[in-house]
Amino acid sequence: MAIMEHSISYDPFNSQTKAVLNKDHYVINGEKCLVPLADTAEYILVIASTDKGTGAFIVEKNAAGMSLVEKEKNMGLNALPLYRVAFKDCKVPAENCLGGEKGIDYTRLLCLSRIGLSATMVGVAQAVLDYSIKYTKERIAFGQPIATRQSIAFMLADAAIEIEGIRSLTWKAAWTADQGEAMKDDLLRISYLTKTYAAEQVFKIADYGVSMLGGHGLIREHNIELWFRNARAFSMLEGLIMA
Amino acid sequence: MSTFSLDEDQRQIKESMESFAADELRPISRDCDEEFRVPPEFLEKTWGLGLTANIIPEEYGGYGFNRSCLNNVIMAEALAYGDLSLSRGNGAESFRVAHSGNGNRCSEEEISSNFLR
Repeated sequence: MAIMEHSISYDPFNSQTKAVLNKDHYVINGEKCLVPLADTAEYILVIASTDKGTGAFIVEKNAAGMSLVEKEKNMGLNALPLYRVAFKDCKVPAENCLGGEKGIDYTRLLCLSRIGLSATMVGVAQAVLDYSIKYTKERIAFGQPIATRQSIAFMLADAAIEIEGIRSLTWKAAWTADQGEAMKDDLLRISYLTKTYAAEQVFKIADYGVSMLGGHGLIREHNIELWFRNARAFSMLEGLIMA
Repeated sequence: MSTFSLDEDQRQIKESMESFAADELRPISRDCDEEFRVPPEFLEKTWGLGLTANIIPEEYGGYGFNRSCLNNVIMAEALAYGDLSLSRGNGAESFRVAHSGNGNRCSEEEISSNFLR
């Protein structure tokens, strides 16, 4: 799905990529970034502003007017090929607009995406904690495992507390989403709070991980540095929060 | 949400995803990060497991699972524990669309027959 845009004031609710209806087709203009697997995807779902709000359009990979600008090289998320994709007078049939004339519930889609992101943040944070616990129990300094040192133990405890916090919040947000219309009014708020808090905590926990491993936190022989780079990317995805 | 415990289906989802993450994601995580790529065979495995297509109706090649954001959150956490980039690679779109639960009409008949066959 192509949703993000290279803009200092990027707002997912105000896409600068535009789709204009012209008889039986839409014409899309704009540029997207961080589009996963754009080089191999048969179809790309493009989020664009329309005169009715924000729509989602299925664009075929060889559609005239769509081109890959470049493969992005970022600090994290390296294993996932991400591309900048440009649309210049790219025509797509009107029936490729998801949800037909009525369109999709874009706010819900964004909320659910934020909840999905939050869940992955919990996974990364838990990976950092489990690795750090094992490492600090095995690493001996001054005759004792460093896990027994207060400065390390406090970080482990803090990480454990915050992971339970972001997991509970993510589950609550997911549960809210599963209530559908009954809790529609709560979904935007809870999904935003969840993503913001989870992004903040996963980065803090990954930073703890680097601290606890010391020099080993920086080298490729330990996954902590990889998780740290990935954790930093979270706050950038789908709208800046506390970057 | 009257309980915070997982039901039997959710426990199975969690365990199978944790096992998949440990066996298939974590071991290739470092190489994929340094080579800037997701191996095609990895994507085939995830497709075979139904991670991407789980809620797509059976007549369109999916598994017809009920849509549940909570189930997908359990799945996403377990996969990201293995590797974040690969977890998003196998279901980058699923997180947003297929995983997005009810209300997006992504599998409505016309769209499904045009794009999922």
